[in-house]
Amino acid sequence: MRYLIALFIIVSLGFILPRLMPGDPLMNIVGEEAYYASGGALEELRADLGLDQSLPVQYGRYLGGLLSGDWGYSYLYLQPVFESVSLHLGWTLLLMLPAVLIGATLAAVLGGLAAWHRGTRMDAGLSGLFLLVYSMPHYWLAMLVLFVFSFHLGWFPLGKATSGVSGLPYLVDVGWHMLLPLVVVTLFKAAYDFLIVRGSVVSIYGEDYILMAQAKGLSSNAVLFKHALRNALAPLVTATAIQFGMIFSGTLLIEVVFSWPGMGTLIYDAIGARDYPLLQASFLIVAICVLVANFVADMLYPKLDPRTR
Amino acid sequence: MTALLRVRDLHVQFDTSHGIVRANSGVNLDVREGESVGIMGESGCGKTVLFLSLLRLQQPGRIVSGSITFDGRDITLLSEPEMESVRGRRIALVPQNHATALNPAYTVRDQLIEAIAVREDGGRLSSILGRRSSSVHSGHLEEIRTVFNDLGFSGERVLTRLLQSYPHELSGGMRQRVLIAMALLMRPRLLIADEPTTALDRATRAQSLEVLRQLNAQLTMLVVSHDLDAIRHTCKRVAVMYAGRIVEEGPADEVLTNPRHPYSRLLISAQTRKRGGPLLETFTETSDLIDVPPGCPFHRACPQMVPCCIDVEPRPHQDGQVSVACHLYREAGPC
Amino acid sequence: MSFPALIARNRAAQVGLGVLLAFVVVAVLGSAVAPHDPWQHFAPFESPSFAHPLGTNDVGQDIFSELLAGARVSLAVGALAALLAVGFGVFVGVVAGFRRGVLDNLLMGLTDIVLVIPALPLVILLAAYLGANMWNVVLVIGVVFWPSTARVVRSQVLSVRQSGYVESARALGATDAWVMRRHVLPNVLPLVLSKFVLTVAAAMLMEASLSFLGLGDPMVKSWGMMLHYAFGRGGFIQGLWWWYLPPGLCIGLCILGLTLVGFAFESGSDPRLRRALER
Repeated sequence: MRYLIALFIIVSLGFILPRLMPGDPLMNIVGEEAYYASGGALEELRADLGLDQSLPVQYGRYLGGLLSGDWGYSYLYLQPVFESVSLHLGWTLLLMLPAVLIGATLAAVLGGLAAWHRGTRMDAGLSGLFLLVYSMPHYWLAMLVLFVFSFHLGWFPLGKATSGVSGLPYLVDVGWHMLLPLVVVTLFKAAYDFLIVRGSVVSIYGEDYILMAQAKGLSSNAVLFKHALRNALAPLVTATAIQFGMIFSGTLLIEVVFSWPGMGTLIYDAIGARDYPLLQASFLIVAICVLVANFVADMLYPKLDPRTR
Repeated sequence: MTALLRVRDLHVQFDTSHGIVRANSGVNLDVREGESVGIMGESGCGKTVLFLSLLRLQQPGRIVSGSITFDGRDITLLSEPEMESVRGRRIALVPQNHATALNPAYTVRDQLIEAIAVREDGGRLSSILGRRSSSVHSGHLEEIRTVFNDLGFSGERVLTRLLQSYPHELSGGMRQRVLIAMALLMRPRLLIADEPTTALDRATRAQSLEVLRQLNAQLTMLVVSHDLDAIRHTCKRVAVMYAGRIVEEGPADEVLTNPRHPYSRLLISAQTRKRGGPLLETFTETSDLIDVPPGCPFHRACPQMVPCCIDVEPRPHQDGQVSVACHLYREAGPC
Repeated sequence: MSFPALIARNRAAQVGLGVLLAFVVVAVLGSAVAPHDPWQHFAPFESPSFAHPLGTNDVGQDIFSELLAGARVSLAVGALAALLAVGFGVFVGVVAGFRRGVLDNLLMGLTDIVLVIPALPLVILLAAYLGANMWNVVLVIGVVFWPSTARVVRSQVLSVRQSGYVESARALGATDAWVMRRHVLPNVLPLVLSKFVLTVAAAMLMEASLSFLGLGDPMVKSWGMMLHYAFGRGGFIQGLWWWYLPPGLCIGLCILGLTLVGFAFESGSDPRLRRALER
């Protein structure tokens, strides 16, 4: 329920901000380039977009436009905003979703092992490594990785998603281009989750059902993976939902470094051109994705923790 | 007949920031096949550490010396994988805290099937993961049904509902039955029951004790409890523990009705006395187990102390069928 | 437990504090230790040499001097934004915790909503509208980071307020202000301090991200701006790692230091956390 309220507020923000922020609302709505390019036709443009009408009417038009796919026009790409955004969103999700899943799994296994062997060198090593990854700006990590593996060693391409082949080789080509950014986003996500999982498992270790599992004759690994980690899943899912916004933001920046044709590059170019319609739409889309992720996590939670059903 | 379990001079210690806690100091215990032995004592006496040591789950405590011979093998010398095959399949535990001893994320059926899987294939990750519900043999379900019937719980529909339930959906008595069933399904040689009457209402408690008493017909048992009723109802022999040592040991009806050791007397009379009468003031704090003075550990609170109790630790002496670790029972007379 | 004691016990925090202090010293000394004026122009795209330890950028400015100057800006922006965020957060948390009722619900609802909104996209949008100016950056970052402090402060206020000694004080006639001063603030302070430190880290990262994307203040040299130019003016394509690697490394080290210190403070204010974090 509160998701609907949040959605409403986010959508409304998209309406309020251009009108609230300094500068002519018309410019804020169509972008700098369009504003200056239209020269004397400004008043016509203003009337066209209904900016001379009352606010409630404008709001109605705005909502109607959103629902029908009219999200404004981008002068940078010379096409409706909706199309630019959907195209780029696909590439971003292609990169982000596998990274989130792999990263969470990696963190679960490593975090569990670190907690289980608390105080050993394995624990110190893993914790130290992930703390380091957690602290570095992730797009810097991207630069480093790109420098070492692409520039220096030449094993991977320098950026973009493809090198222009088509057919089956296309898939392989995309995969090859995708590997490095995927690794960086995965590490980034894993670093966030590692600490959470490790903390969870450390506290689970003292639970009675862990002793019981050991008393049944289960091996140490069996107790860790079947009993301890199972109970660390619910907090991990909640954490993933909470951080989803941060992971998304991080991915955007990493995309810029790799020239990956996702939302990140879109935003980077839009900032350069002060293309406000694009920036606004990007904000809306990212916010909606985050809301959806939170919603999905809420639905998943009772399945993972039977006590909350 | 050789004992199934033979504990000799067991010393278990915990290293803490306040010093070394001697949880078990020279414990000797025999459990013969088919017997049911009770370990009685208050909190802090070391009975929990004792039974955990039998499973080698006493960490962070360390077994510093002594031997635990089970079925001919000294389990203090076994490797961890060897010990894993002893836990559950040879020595099974019915834990005290039924509310938290079952994993809240798995159904009753999953956890019982896991017990069977361990019995058949061992406790490695690969063997317990292989048993998904689709490959459960009807034979296993039959086995589970039989075990529950033996525990006095029948009724097809109720059983089906029980198996699909999660631990938090069950009552305390039901959870305890599940824990007992889980232990039985592993077909152990020795069953350890830890405080079987905790957190149960009177009626359930009585049922539970009856179940345990009957189980003794098929299993050798060790019952650890501070509750006199529980011990009396289920055990043929009793050992009374105090400050990490066994102070008195013998047939239950002897020890419980006619205790010899001054501590046993106080302990037993405290649980059987009518209103009024002296309060028992001897509970052991862990701190008492750190700097243990020489002599009898009980001497400072003992109403029958004699001079040599202060510096000479008493060895067990026979008085009929009961063995008592007290100078008052020396053949040659006290000190 | 007092803060010096918390650091003294925690090896990791000591390392963090050390790193942090090193950067603060550089920030304070600033141009006094730099070999050149960071705004002065030399030959562009020079490789590292004795005269220019990290070479020069696309307009010929000495990168090493830029790096040293950047310390002051990046740390200052981070600290100011965090101050704004935490200050506002404490205010909201205390008001919500004290007043309860409708005001509390309203404020907490607002907090929850801001928490769900993804920070960077919103900040990008606001910064784009407001214009490229360091003060705008500080403001905009402050606007997104207050909710987590508000939540934490509010729950602390609630638990203190409902505790026995506060209730008896009130029964004896103590005013809100008195309770606030004597009981609430001392309890809330350790928590606020740890939140502040962690927020500075987050704010520094956010400023760097904003500048990197091109929304930073071109009149100011921060580490993020250096990354922006290094990436956008060909430093990356040409493989001039001495230009784009050092600023990011500095940001990372500062954040590492702040995180280690922040975690140490956090464990001090929550006994359960302390035990869980103990290695």
